[in-house]
Amino acid sequence: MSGDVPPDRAVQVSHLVKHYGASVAVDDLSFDVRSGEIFGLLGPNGAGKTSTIRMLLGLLVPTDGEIEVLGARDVRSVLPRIGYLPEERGLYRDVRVDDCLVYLAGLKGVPRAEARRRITVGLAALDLPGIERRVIKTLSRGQQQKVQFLATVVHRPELLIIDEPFSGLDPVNTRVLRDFLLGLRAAGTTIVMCTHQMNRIEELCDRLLMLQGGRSVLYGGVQAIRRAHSGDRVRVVLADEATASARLADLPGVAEAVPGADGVMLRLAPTTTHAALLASLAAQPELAVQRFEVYLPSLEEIFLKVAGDDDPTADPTGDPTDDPTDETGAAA
Amino acid sequence: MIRAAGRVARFEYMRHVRSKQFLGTTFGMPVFMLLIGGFAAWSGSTAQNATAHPWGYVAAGLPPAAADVLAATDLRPFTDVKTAAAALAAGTVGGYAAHDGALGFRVTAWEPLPDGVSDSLSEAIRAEALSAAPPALRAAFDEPATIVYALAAAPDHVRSADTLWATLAVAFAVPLALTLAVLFSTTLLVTAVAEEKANRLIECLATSVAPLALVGGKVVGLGLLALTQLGIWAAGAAAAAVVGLRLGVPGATVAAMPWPTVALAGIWLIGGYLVQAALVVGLGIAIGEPREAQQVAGFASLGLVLPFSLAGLLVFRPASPAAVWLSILPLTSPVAMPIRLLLSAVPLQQAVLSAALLALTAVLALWAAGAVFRWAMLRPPIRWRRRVNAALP
Repeated sequence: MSGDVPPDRAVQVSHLVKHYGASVAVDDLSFDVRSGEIFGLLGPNGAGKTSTIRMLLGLLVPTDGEIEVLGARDVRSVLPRIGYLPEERGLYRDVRVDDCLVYLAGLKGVPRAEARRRITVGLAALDLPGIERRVIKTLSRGQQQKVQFLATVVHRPELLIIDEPFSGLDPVNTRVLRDFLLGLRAAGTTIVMCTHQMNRIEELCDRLLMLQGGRSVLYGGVQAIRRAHSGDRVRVVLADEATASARLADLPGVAEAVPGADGVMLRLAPTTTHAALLASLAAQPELAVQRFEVYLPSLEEIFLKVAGDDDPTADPTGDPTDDPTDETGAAA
Repeated sequence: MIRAAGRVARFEYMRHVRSKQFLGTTFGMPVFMLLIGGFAAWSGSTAQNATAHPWGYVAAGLPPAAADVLAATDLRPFTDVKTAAAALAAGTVGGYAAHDGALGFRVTAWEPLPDGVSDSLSEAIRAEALSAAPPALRAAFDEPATIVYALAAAPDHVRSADTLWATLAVAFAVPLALTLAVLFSTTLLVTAVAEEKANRLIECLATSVAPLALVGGKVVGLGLLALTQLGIWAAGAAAAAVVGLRLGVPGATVAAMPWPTVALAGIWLIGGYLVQAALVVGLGIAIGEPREAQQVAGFASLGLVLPFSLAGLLVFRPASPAAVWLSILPLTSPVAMPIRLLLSAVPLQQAVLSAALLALTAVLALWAAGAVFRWAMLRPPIRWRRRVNAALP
């Protein structure tokens, strides 16, 4: 155990490095995951997410850097308190659901009778009641995926690491699983979730870390990151929609005005600020402004913008661990 | 770690002992072997007795002793040579034998003399000759020698002919059963390991169990499965022995079998299983694709199969240098040493050396399997067939 990590940190990673021969998978990565939050880990393929997760789980030994998980530097000592769902997954196809789940729960130290009780409850919560005695290969792909998810949480882990938990699920099952995850968070479980589905990150995650080339390129609270990337765009709605676009385009500091179904999107000139534009609008009451909002880009737009950058170091986050409470540690 | 290994062993045992593969092999294999053996015996007997046409003999002029012998056979009797020649000319017999007046027959035939007819004629001549001999000589002809068989390299250890044949049968049946059980279990083992890597379940398991406990549990669980299979076969053999005793198999023959040596062969079974298991665990986790892993594991089992292909050497020259080396080298000793132990007097130092080398190899192989397991667990599968195909012109 270490006394260096604040008690509300489930994971603390400092200057983590992982090399495979000459190839650098993770390069000087630092971040933390707070207890009880859902933390998104994202990045393009080959960004270093899987290597990072495997080091968090003690499956890979870091080349350099430090990791503390649930207060322990020896990660393997806390593995019974962690649940892990890898992206590519499978189960014993010729085994019954209950036998498989009891076995996997037993390996995490759950007694058989208790495991059976939790399995019955868990299957019902995942909308799979009464399938305990069915052989796994007779289940649909979505059902198998939910069974494997239950295997990941049946021992009630304090830290849950899940890789693409929604892939392959239909909308109904996606909702079931989303509600289950929210229930776990409400119960105090810390969740680290890897996914490419940005809407899920926006919907579920409190904070996120985006990797590229093994380095952190985005890190912080989800809304804070969106605000930080709001940039030069403002959405304005006028009472007179017909002439709005032309009238707004004539305002000082407006580089472009694009009408849309939900108002006019203005792109500001580099020398103008949101406040200056707002002052201009206020100075012309005849425009009858009904709505003024700084446009917050979606995470997908931010992801594409950041991931499309050839040089990840050109848009650095700095070292977020310098101030772990900084919600706005995102790229400027 | 021991508790976790125990859970893995229990799961692997229960998962496979109820499988169709296990039930089919355990109960189907003896039935299959019996069917094969029965068919071989029937077809051999049929081939020996088969002739294109019936054969006959001329009864006229036969001495009484010879006539009694031939009358008890399937040969067709003719009253005289003229009748027999007519039957031959008509094609109703393939040939006939007529006594030549001295100690011999004259055979006239269209087709080669069948073994069965030749044996019957020899028996008739012998009966004719013995009818004039003193009674003591007749007894000597019936049993010309009292034969005992000495163990190789141990002339003081002797067996009767019945016991020799029974021991030969046991000396091959026991290692064969052990080998089949080991090969079956290790095939399941390599499949289980490769399957877990292929579907990435191994990654989840490795966050719950130390790799050594995972490997150890699987090896123990499927080892118990092999013992279960052998136990069922042994029970079946015991039941067959009881039935055989009731049907007239001499009890002394069964009692004279070297049962303690059969039990001793279990040491080499366990060692052989551990070495094979370690080999296939390493191969399974490195290859990571069940079907390809099974094929490579098949090559790894050649060490167990080789002694059976050199059975003649082990039976007739069990103390020869080649046989001794086969029974000492760890890959072949699990089969070769039990055969030698059952058929010859193996020097104690050779048995100890063989067992020690096998135990050492098993320990090293399991350690290496654990190291390979940790190394290969997260690596992509080795597509060896694709690589071989790519390397071929």
